[in-house]
Parts: sequence; structure tokens; C-alpha cells
Amino acid sequence: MINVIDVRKKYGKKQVLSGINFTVKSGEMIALIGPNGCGKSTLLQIMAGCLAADHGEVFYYGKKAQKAEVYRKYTGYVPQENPFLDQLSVRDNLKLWKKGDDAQLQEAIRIFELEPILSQTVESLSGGMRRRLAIACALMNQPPVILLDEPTTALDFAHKDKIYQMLDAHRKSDGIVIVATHEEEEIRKADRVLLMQKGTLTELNKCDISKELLIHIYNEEGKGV
Amino acid sequence: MKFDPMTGEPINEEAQGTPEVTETPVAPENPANQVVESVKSWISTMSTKQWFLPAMIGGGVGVIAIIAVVVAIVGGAFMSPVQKVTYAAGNTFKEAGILGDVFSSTMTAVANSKSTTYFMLGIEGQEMEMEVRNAGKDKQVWVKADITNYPELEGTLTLNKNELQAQAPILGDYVFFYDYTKEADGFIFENVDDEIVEALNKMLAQAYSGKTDDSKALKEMAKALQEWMDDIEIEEVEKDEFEINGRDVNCVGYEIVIDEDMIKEYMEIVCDAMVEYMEEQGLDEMEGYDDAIFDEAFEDMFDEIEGMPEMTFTVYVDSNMLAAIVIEAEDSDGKVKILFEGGDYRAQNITVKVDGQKVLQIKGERDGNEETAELIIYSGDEKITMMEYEYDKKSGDFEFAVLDYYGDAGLLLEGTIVANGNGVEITDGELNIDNMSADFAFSCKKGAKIEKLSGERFDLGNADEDDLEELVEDLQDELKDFMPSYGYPEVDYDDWY
Repeated sequence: MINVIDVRKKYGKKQVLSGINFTVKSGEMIALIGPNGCGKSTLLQIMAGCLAADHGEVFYYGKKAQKAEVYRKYTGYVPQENPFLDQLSVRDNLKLWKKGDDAQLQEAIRIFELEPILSQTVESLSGGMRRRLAIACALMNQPPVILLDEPTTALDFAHKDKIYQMLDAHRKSDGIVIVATHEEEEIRKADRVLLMQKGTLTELNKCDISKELLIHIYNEEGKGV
Repeated sequence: MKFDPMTGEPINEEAQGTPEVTETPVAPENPANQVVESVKSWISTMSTKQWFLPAMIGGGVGVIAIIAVVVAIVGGAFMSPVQKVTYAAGNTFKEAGILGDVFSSTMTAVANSKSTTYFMLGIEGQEMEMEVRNAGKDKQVWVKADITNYPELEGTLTLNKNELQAQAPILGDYVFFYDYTKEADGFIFENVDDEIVEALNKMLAQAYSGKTDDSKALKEMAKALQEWMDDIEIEEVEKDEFEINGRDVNCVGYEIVIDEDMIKEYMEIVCDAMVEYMEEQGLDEMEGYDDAIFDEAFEDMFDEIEGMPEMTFTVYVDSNMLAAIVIEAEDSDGKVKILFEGGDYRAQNITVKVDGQKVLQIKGERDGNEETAELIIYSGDEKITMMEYEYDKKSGDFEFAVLDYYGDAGLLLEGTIVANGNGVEITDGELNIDNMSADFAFSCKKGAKIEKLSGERFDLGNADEDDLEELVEDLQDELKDFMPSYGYPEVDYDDWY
């Protein structure tokens, strides 16, 4: 269960988030949509504890997220950028991310089929493999909440499908998935769709979501904040 | 993995297993552009750090040298026969408004005694603090960083008569020390050249004593520059009339001619001295050092001044202060005039005219405890205010803004400055640049208290391989907490819009 209460964030004079409120129940997948620059990444960064909000609070399962320990325990975050040390091997990067015992590491390697690439450096991996590795790192420590920022951008169909299966499995295990996305397929797979515009959130009725509506929303690009 | 919907805790792991992924044929992998340059640049800084010291010294001295040329040219500082000009230039800029006076008098008092300087910068909820304690010979630097998603970082570095000491809570209660007065033959120093160790020891000894060795290279540079200055001819010219403090004043003029060869000669003296200085200090032994860096930098500057016409500077003086500087270029009828129009002090109002047209103006006003200043650019009929500054000595409030074409502040610096005989302090400091906002605080006060570092001492100079292995093992748990568990907090803010 997540409660986001009146979260606000300003960059200089620009109000990027002006009082964000929403609740997510266990087992839900949320699609966070909106034009570029509307504040989706900012919200995810705040929810992951990577960025401080100017105002407002985030609660994970009733616990106020203030300290790094709370964020670490409850969230796994997949940023838009490659979060790895490129010159290190996949194995070494996984070790850096690992918090628990070796069993978790081995489990992540098994589930995400990373065995064949363990010795390769991250810089030698394709974009798809890196995304898979990023999600593996985010899930390896078994957080109930996974936050993903455009996880399938620039991936081919097969890789996208694999990632969708991983997210679906997480949701079915009563985990929570929040994904900032521009992908129609991800939007349709979500249980709920939240539209971010001008720093505020509006929940869209899934039945109302059409290609035309999405085109209209994304045509607002640049006017989002 | 299954999660408790109420607590989020993992449950019944064995029974539930973990989410499985079905096999899907994988298409040839698409090399996507997911690589973030920030990580790479972080790693690349490892090599650039080797340049830090020589670049800092070279860059710093280079900048000072260039400023010296400009000041010398503008102010006439090099003309020993005409001390009036030198004196006038010094007097003109001696007074710099209320805030300038507050800073200069306080900082001078603090610089001549034991002092504690504190600086804090906070950006987006993340904060860094630093305090430099100078207790005469003993010195200490304390830093603290509160960065989202990382444990709080704190560390203290002390320099005393024999040792450089370091302590950080994240590394347990160890006091790491390096005795710069004794030979270091431990594992860390096995592969370090003796010259580098010698240079390090010398640098630490000088930092402790506050005395620097007389540099032969710098002395020779000063001598060469003096000779260069002596070769410059200066002659008195006819008086001319300028408006100062609202009245017309007849001022004595002194003419100086500068050409491309003279500037090149000056730069060559500085460049050669820099290379010699680096060798003298043993800094040329540092990995990656190449004295071509100076040649390249100066060659770039030579290219910039290539073809520069002969310039004539006429400096007019009134009441032992600058009245005007008129700049003329060879084969050109145009004239640039820098007019010191005075006010409460000579440099309060300055106008720059090109061929009689006003192009730039610094306009200052003082009203009791308050002072304001503006930098205005004139373009045709347009008048654009580029900078604004306000200071109230009574409240201490100050504001400095760089404005865009429409008058909006692209950069805004504000806060409160309090100064007294014990030092100066800036509180409630705020810096806004476009979309970024930062808080800052600064203080520089008389007096310093060096905190004694206590704990288990670890000799960095003489620790052998086993000692270091043992140390790493001991610190493994502490360091683990410092590693990121998800994503990096380094963020490209531009990507968020």
C-alpha cells in the first residue's frame, strides 16, 4: 500500500509537482503518463528517495518514507538512465546492488537468465540486456514496490514482452508496480492510469483510453508544466 | 516471491517461489542508447584528477598574470617613472562601496589572524558543509555531506607538526595518519616515485609552516617582467577635460603604446616561468604531466592576439585617481573611452563610450545605509539593464541579479551579510539560476579551535599489505552501507522536463 500525500516540487521558479495525492493498493500496476517534462520522472525520483520533495509525504505500508532505510526496504527503482558502472562485469554490478545473502543474488541470476552474461562488462551489453539487468537489480532485494521510468523505451518486441512478464509476475505476487511510460501497451496492461499534467494528477477511466486520447495527450508535449 | 498486501513484507517464499518468465524468442539485440554519460564521466574524472594540481597552479597563475597585464595596461601599474598613474589606479579602486568596504576591512582583519571559515551549500534537499580551521600553524578541514540515498558522510583532516591525519565516522574510529617528516616505506608507497613523495612532504611542511620556499623561477619571472615593464615607454600628453562628480575637470594624461610583440613577450616570460616552476617544485614528476600543456595554452592565446593592432592607452588622472582611459587602435579612427564619473567614490559611476556613443554604464547610488548599482548596456536606442545589486548595511540584506533581455532574473543571489570586528557572516543565502535553486551560508571569523582526533591509529605511510588487507576486511561492513542499492542519485535534471 502506498500513500502519496500533497507532494510538491519546484525547480527554481518552475513548479513541477503542485500537490500530488494518490493511493496504490497491493497487487496494482499503475501507469503514469503525460507529456515529456510533466514531472513523471521527478515523482518517481521522490518516491524512490533519490530526490527530496519540497513538501508532502510518501508512506509505504503505513511507514513514512524519510530515511534511506525505508526507501531501500520497500522500493526498487529502475531509472531511465543506465545506473551501472559500465567498466565492471555484470556479476560485479549485481554484487554492488545486493543487500541480502548470496542466495538472492543467485535467484536473480536464475530468474533473469543472467548466467551467460555474468562475466561480460556492462558496456558490452545491448540496451535490452541492460534494462533487464536494471530490473533484476531493482527486484533482487525483494522490494514490494517497483518503480520504473520508461523501462521499455527503445527495446524490441521480445525484450519488451519479457519485461512485461516480469512486471506481471510481480503484481500477481501482491507487489506494486508503478511505471512512467509513453508505451500504449504498458498503459493498457496497467490496472489504473494516472495522467500527469501541469504538475497535477488525474486518474483516467481505462475504458475512455483510446489511441486518439493518447495522441492528444502527447501532443501537449512541451506544455506539460 | 509473494508479498504481504498489508505490510509489504515478503512471505512464504519457499512455497510461492519466484515469478518465472516464460521463454520468448529473442530478436537480435538492438544496441539502444541507454548509456548515461554521467557514470562514464565520473570514471573519466579519475584520470583528470591527476591534472588537478598542475592545472590549478598553472591556471591560477596564468589568470593572475593576465589580470596583471590588464590591470597594468588599464591602470598603468608598470610605469615606475610615473607613479602618479599607479597611485591613481590604486586609489580609484580602493573604495568599492559599502559592501566592498565591509568585506575588505573584515577579511583583512581575519586573514591576519587565526580564523575559522565555514561554507554550506544545499541543493534540492542535499547539503554539503565545510569548515576550514586555521590555528596559526595547525590546520583542520571538516566536511559533511548529506546526500539523499546515502549515509551521512563526515570527515576531518588535520595537519599538525608531523602528521596529516584523517578521520571519518563511516570508516569506524580509525585515525589514518601520514607522518611527512619520516620515511614512508609501506605498501601504498612502494610504487610511488621518491620525487612525488618528496614533493608531497614539502607541500605539507609548507602548508603547516605557512612559509613557502623562495622560488628561483618566480624570482626570475619577476625580474624579467620588471625589465619588460621598463622597456615600455610612457609620455605625458596634453590635458583634457572630463566630467567628474558633476563638474568639468582638466586632467593630466599619460600615453602608453602596447603592441602584439610586447604582449607575446610578456606571455612567453610567464609560460617559461611556469614550466620552470613546475620542475622546481617536482610537480613535473606527476603522472600524466606534460609541459606542453602550457605551450598549448599560450599558443591558443597567441592565436587570439595574432594580428592585433598597436594600441594606445591614454590614462587621465585627477586628484590622484583615474579620470578616464582612452583607447585607440592603430589604423582606426575609433576611440573607446572609459570614463570614471565618480559619485560617492570614483568608481561608483563608470561609462564606456565607443566613438562617442554610450555602450555600457555602471550606475551606483548610495542613500544612508543603502546602496544600489546597475550595469546597463546600450544598443542603439535600447537600454538594457543586465545586472542589479542592492545592499542595506543596517539590515545586512543584499541582492544581486543578472537579468535577461526581458528583465527577468536568470541568476539571483540574495541573503544577509553581517560583519563586525570578529568576522563576516552570510546567512539565509539563496542562489537561483534558471531552474536550479540552492541555499548557502558562509562565515569567516577570527579564532580557531582544532579538534583532537582520537581513535585507533593507522599508519598509511608504513602499513604493509597485510595491514591493509586487515583494514579492508574490518571496514567491509561500513563500506557496504555506502554502496547504492538502486539507481544512482546522480540525475540529469534536463531529462526531467
